[in-house]
Amino acid sequence: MKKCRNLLIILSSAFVFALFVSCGSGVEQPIQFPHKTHIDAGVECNICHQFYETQKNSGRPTTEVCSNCHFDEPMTSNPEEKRLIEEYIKKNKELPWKRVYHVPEHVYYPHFRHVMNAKIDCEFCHGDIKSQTMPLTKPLKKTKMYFCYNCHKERGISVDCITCHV
Amino acid sequence: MSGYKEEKKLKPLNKIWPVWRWGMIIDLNKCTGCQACVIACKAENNIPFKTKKESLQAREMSWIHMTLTYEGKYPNVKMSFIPVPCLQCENPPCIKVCPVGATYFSEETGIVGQIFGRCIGCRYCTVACPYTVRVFNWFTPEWPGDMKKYTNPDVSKRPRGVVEKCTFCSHRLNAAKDRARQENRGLKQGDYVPACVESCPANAIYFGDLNDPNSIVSKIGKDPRAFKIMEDLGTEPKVIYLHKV
Repeated sequence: MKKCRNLLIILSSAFVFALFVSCGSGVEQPIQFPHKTHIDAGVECNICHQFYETQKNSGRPTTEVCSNCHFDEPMTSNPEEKRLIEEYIKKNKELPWKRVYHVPEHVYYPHFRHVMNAKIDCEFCHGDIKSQTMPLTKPLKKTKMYFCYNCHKERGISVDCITCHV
Repeated sequence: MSGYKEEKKLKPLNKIWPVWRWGMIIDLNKCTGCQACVIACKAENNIPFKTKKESLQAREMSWIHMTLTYEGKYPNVKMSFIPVPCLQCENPPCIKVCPVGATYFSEETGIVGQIFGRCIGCRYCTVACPYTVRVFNWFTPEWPGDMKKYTNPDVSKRPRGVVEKCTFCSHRLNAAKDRARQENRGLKQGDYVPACVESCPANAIYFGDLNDPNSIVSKIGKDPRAFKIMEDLGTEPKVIYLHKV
């Protein structure tokens, strides 16, 4: 009986540890790019994230978009930039970016409506992303329903369920 | 909640919309039964295809379906078609039975909304609906071949195990509100039309605001041919039919 209990304790602690590790590691991007360097160089958000003014999703930069600037020789001494050019751009391989900010499938969040109509800055939902020197592994802000709801209510936007849950 | 309070305050947008009661009129004398509305609805709302086997098991899904009626005896049979979307009742029986509040009556628009993320799939509403317009999603939605890439991004793909229904293409209302807000005006007739209305080749379906006395539905609704299905139940549907008796 005691053996059984010990085994249970070991198993449950292993499970909790595994859960902790899986939550802690977060998302890993193929290239460790810095948002800050791009912003400092005068690159606007819509050059890499091309669709946030017109579509639902903001879009992530394709290899073609990156190759507009990073085409021949690395501009900085960052080894990641060299890796980007050699592994992806010269081989014309697509960058497997991973999504960091999620909303559930039954939530309709259109970027264009919030950026163009409501004139909300990126930082409002994405946090201080412009000063990040490493890609995010976890969202800086939690995209929860109360966050959406409070803003909608304050600004006099419809809080009818079917406005977002379509 | 407290995390939000620290944020900078944004200006209110100060756009006040009227209270709508979106309604539909289907002219059965004009309807040819071509089922273009059924196809348009399926394409617009990402309703998955069903195989022949699944259809024979009554697992077919459509938010607007054709009901056939036969009159007379052979050889003088007269067949008529009645397209039945969700009738968006003013007094809906389905919301009274939902144990989780996944379906509700939208006071702003008069649409009976379904929140797919909240639905637990108990199917009480499917049974309560006297018009049998609610469908249950029995299988994980699948599209043949490349069709998945062409689904509508404005509408969510519902998972298996939820009840679905016509929402009067409420995502189109949001788009119409967007356009109106940009041009700083109210909604005009024809700004917001569901996919079935738009696709009808015989122009048999009219759509508009029943609260507005000048709208097309308010005017045509006074037609002596107008009737509502199962009016005696007291559900007060907002989809009105026209048929010459």
